[in-house]
Amino acid sequence: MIELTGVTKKFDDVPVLNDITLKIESGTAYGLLGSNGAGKSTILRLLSGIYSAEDGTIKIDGEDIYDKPNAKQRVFFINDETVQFGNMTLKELKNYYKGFYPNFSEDIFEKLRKKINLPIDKSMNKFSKGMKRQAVVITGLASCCDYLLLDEAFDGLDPAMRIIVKHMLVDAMLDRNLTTIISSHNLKEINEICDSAALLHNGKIIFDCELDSLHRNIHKIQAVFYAPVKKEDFAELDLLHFEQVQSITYLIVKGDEGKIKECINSKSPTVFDLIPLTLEEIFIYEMEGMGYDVNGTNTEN
Amino acid sequence: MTSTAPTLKTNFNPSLHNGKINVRNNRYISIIILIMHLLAGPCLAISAMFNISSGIDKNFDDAFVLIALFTTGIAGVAGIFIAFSNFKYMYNKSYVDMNLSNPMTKKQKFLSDYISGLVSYAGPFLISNVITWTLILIGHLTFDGNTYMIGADPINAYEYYCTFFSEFAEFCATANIAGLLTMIMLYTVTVLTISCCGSLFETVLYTIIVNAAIPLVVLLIYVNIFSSETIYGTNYDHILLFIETLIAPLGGIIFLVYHTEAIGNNSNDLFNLCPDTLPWAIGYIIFTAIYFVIAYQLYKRRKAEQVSKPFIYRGMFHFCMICTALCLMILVKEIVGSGNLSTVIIPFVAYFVLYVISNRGFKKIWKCIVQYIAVVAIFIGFMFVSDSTGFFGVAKKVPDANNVERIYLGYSGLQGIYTTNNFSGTLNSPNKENTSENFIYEITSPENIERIVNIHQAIVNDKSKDSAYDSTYISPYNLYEDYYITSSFSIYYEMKNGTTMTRTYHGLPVECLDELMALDVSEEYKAQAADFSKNLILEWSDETHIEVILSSKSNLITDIKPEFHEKLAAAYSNDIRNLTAEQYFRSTAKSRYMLTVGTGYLLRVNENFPETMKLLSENGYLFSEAEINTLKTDEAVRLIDHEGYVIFSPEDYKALTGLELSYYGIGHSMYWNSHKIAANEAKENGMTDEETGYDTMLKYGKYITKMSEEALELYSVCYSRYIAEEPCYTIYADGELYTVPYEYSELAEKVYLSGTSTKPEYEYYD
Repeated sequence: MIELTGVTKKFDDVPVLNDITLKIESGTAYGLLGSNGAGKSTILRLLSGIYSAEDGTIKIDGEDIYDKPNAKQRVFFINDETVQFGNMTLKELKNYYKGFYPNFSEDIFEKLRKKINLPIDKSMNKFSKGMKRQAVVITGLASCCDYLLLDEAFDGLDPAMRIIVKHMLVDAMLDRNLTTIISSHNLKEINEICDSAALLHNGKIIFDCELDSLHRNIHKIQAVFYAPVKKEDFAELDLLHFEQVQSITYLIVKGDEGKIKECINSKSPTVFDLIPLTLEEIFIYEMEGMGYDVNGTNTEN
Repeated sequence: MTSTAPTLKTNFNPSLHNGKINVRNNRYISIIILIMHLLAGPCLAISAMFNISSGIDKNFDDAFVLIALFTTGIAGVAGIFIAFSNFKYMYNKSYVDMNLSNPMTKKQKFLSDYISGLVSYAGPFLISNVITWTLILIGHLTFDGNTYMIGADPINAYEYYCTFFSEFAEFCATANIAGLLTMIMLYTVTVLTISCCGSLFETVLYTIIVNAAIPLVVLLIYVNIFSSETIYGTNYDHILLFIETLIAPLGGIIFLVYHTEAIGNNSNDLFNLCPDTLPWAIGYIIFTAIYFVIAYQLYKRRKAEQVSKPFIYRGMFHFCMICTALCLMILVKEIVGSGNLSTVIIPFVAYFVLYVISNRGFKKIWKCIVQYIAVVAIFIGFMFVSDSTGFFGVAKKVPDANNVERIYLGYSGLQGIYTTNNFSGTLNSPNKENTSENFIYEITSPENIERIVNIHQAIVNDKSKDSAYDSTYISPYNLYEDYYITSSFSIYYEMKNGTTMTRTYHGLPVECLDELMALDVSEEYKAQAADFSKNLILEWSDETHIEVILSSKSNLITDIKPEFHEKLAAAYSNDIRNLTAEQYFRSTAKSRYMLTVGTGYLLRVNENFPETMKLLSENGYLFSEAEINTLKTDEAVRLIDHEGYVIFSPEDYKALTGLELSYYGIGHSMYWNSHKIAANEAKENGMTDEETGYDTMLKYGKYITKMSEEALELYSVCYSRYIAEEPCYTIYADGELYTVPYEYSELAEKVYLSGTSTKPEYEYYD
């Protein structure tokens, strides 16, 4: 289990993460969502032991991670860059990480490599971006670590390869209880792979819950009312979004479905529909609620 | 799978693995370094063996020496690139995640990267040395100790005994130690710089600045301080050199250069300046260790997110900026002189440019100006205080004679009688085994120690006067007008508490006269002077380079039998030992003989040296009375027609020198005072003192335009060195000053009255 408790991280005295508390259970797939600069990659680097927190604790199975080789060898971090591999071949990449991870499995590596048909002796400089990604993902899986951290790991992969990689991850999670933490802007993929997710904005956690309960807890309502209604009429609800297009009123509401229906019905709608939201829509409306306008401005400031 | 932390496998070593990765990544650089080193030492050894076996009369080919220097330089600089390679995650963000997420502690990571870099860098050097030493051993077994006819003198055939490989081995051993330590320090300083910087540009730039700035700023500040007129006599060159060889990678190269020169030349000064290998090596290792510890501590405290900032630790920036500004300030001042605005503006421009680059813009530019002003103010303030106080009283410090154990003295006597070859240079650390070869006196008697301390105090008191022209200086000079020596007085104190102190002065004030005179004729001083002269004659006894000289005539001593030289040496040293103060200061010799020995050493011989005169006379090396008279007549004609003959009465002399002293015939007391007078007159008339010097002096006397019998006789009885209580006349002739003994004052007055105050027209030689 990964536990972040009251973690604060600053860059040049500017807080990037502010009193973050998270728990990530072992054997799960956890998604990190957020706007650009929210702190997703920072969390991953804290979990890999690259950064140290100014405040709070970060523990992996009860053990601190920063400057602790024992804990670090259970974590494999795949960042969003590929330039660091330089002229390495896939074989050299494998040998590089093999020396750092005691449980590294040549068999798994070879099996995965053949599956995606990557050449072993070719310089990775000649690989495409997607191929480099694949190379490092199979290396990470072959390390047989307990925690795999992926930062924009699917970026550059074609749709077919994304499916293959996702299956690899799922297989590993099932086979050896691998815990995967994925940071991505592709909410569809997060929705497909992850059990739980956290949304970050301006260094704070907006929500941290299982995706199922998230879907259950936020609703889109389309209604037509006899009498004109205003936003203030729905003050009793946890309203994320209120919009009226001609006679149709659109609401995005958080909360219990029953209570929401009761409230709407009290306003005597002529038509009333409760529509489930995609994760993307949830993200957009949650961010809008924080003042992050989808038109590209930060309405909070 | 359980979630417990696995224990590390027993043979699992991420640090070693990391190190191997680094060595593998640097393999191409290592190969280049190896090739470079192989082109140095081994090639030199092979070249030497080839030359010796072929009978070619030289050890190394110049080409191979140049190649060795060039390739060794390239190999040396390669260490910087290896450090850049191993620690690239410190200035290149792309490598941060890959390196710092690895399961190692920071300490393990640092040590692994550091040590593997050293292996890549120094490993090829060590391999090359194994090959070189193997070749040296082969050369030694094959050539050393054997007799090889490499050179042949047609007159005196000799054989050259080859000791080359033994000498080369000595040099190689020092070069190996110095080379290895220099490489380690260069690598460590580079790692230290990388630890402070966060971007590639700053890392490269400040690596260069650090390597250049550290030794340069120390040197320039030292020069700036000790070139001041208020800091006289002190010489800390040996301390400066020792510090310079310790504090920076360049120091190792400086050490090696000085050591090589010292082996080759066996020069006393160089030998004394060059630190011994062991103390230097220990000091160098200590400084390297300090840099290593600082580098590690900074590395440990660095944060990964700071990579890509110009500086992680601004201290490096400030340090380099201050050093650069100071270096430029002092250099510009040396070129254009102090008080010129460019000494402040030019360094500021450099400071400003680097500030803007490191800040990536003009934000808070006021800080740059404030910092620069602070640096300039502190430096100028320091220099002002240093100048005002003679470097905080150091220049004026004179030890207590009671605390002095021993003095090594470089001073050849007032009269130049013992030897006219003055000690030259400075006694930084006397080569105590070779004192006589270098005319260094060892003074242990309390009386002489006190005299020297008093002389020292008199010099310091004199230097403390506001104007140099208030002083009158004395110096001995040679009989021969083309050989003028300024006395240097070099003191090396060994105190009873084990400390040492060294001072060197040029130009001694007349207040020292009494003590110098007592020192010159003390038994301790005379005994050593006698030994120096004896050793000189014996050293050159194989050479036909001993001449007896009188004015423009000379007789070559052709009897080079060892027995004759031993007799000459014994006679001469006995004459010196037996010389009384009266004889030393009041020579009544009518002839002024000299022996030239070897490559130009001059030994004075006159009638006060009876044993020497007798030996030379018996062997026919002196001149007849008729020859001497002819010589004098020729000289007299020359004086009147071509060079000038001026006579000063006692009152004239006093007016010129302001002295009430005995008429000491070391005439440059008059010469220096003429400069004082000339300077004052020059100020009034807008002339330089060089333009008025001699002419100013001579116009105080009377010009003799016709060589009378009296004038000729006066010239023949006057002496260049003469001490008297009574007032005496002084002659200026053949470019020198002479005193007329008191008993000839009546004659001198007659000549004086025949003179004129108007300067005649001289016929100068073409």
